[in-house]
Amino acid sequence: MILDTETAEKLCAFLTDETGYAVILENAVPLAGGASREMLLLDLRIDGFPGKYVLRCDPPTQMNERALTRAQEFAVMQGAYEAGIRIAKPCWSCEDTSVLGSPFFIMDYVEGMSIGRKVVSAPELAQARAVLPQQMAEELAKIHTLPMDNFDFLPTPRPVYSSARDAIAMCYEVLDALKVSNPALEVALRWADRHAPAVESWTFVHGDFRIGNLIVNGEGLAAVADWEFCHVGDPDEDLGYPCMRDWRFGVGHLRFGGISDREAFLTAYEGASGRAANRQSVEFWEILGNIRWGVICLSQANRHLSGRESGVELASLGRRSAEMQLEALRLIQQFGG
Amino acid sequence: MYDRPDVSELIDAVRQHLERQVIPAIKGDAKLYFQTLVAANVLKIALRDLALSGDHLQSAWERLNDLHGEIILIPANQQEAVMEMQARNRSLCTTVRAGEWDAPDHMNALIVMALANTVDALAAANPKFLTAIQEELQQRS
Repeated sequence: MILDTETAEKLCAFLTDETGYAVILENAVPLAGGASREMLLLDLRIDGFPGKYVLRCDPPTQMNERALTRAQEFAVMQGAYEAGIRIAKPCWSCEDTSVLGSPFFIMDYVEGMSIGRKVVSAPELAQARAVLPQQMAEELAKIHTLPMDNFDFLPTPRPVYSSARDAIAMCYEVLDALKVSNPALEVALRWADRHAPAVESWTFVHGDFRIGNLIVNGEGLAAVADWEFCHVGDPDEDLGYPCMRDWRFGVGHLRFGGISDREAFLTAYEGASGRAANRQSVEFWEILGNIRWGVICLSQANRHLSGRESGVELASLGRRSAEMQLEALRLIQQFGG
Repeated sequence: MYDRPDVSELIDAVRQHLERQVIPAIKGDAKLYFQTLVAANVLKIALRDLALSGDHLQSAWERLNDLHGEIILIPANQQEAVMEMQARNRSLCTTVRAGEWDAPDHMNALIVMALANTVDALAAANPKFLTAIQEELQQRS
């Protein structure tokens, strides 16, 4: 049990208020999650009925100012759940920091594998990998039709900016704040600025849709997770992003997430959404995704270097940036400058 | 100047300690285990960095000379050379952002230079990544 008795009592009191039933916390263990959010697997007994739940809470510092708060993420997940998207059912949200020290929400536990390296290689998931591109395409098509107006808090590109140019501007701001002069990132950003899609039609965008952020079981896609980077923007972003080399988890030759070729996924998406995916724009977003992740690696390392947080994992990300720089430049060369 | 172990040997001693003593002992703590694997890998990066960064600085300096078509001598003092390289990169970045390299020939030359620098950076940071991508591209062609 990772929660002390006092915290566990506060959590149970909160849940009793929410549910109207006696709630007993039988166990709480950390779940392997991202570097940015803390997740706990809870064994709860609600009115005598046992169940497994996942608690997601804020870490001490924000990774990205464009990230949603836990309460906002909870609201988005509720909308997605009601729209019939495969997702863990969001249950309770708490903004009162006197309970756990930071806001959190609780959702149903969905059994399955989310670790990217395992999803792309585990023998027992071979059948899942065969159907994942189609299933991911179908869920993404639904995500892109979520009504943006229902979530007035969603980050939206700044006035006059396209969503691509907004992302590019964010990269420049981070580089300037860190006082980084990196010719590789700079030339890639310049290329992106000059090749940004001329026309975008905006929709709800998931913003972190990739292998590693999905819960996968033997039958394939069980739940889409990690909704904190949802925003309003170009849906092609969500098509290029899962193709990024880093999200292929070592299976580099399978461009779509290390599980299939890209065309299989794009064709399935077009079938499910009825919307044509512009291949050039998808390619652009794959490149910009690499650039942005390369920039964010540097800013993650700075969380350690600035002395705000100490962490060898954060520090090591600084040296991973070159992987994304190389990939972006290589794709730019291929793309024909 | 100092007695042995030298700096690489010191770092390697810690790496061995982590890999042989610490990591096997903490398998039960998933988070600490993962972080300590990362820590051991960071020491490997540091060792490769120590072995390669001198040559890589020299190459990066010469690539920049070639790009600009100029012959500037690299400072003999290592620290000065690093500072001077940073200053040259700063001014290059300013001109890139100002659009002064937008002509296709210039842009291509700049990309080729930047790619060579990232290959060097990865030789220190993650040589396995480099090998994997090179093998993949060979197989495709």
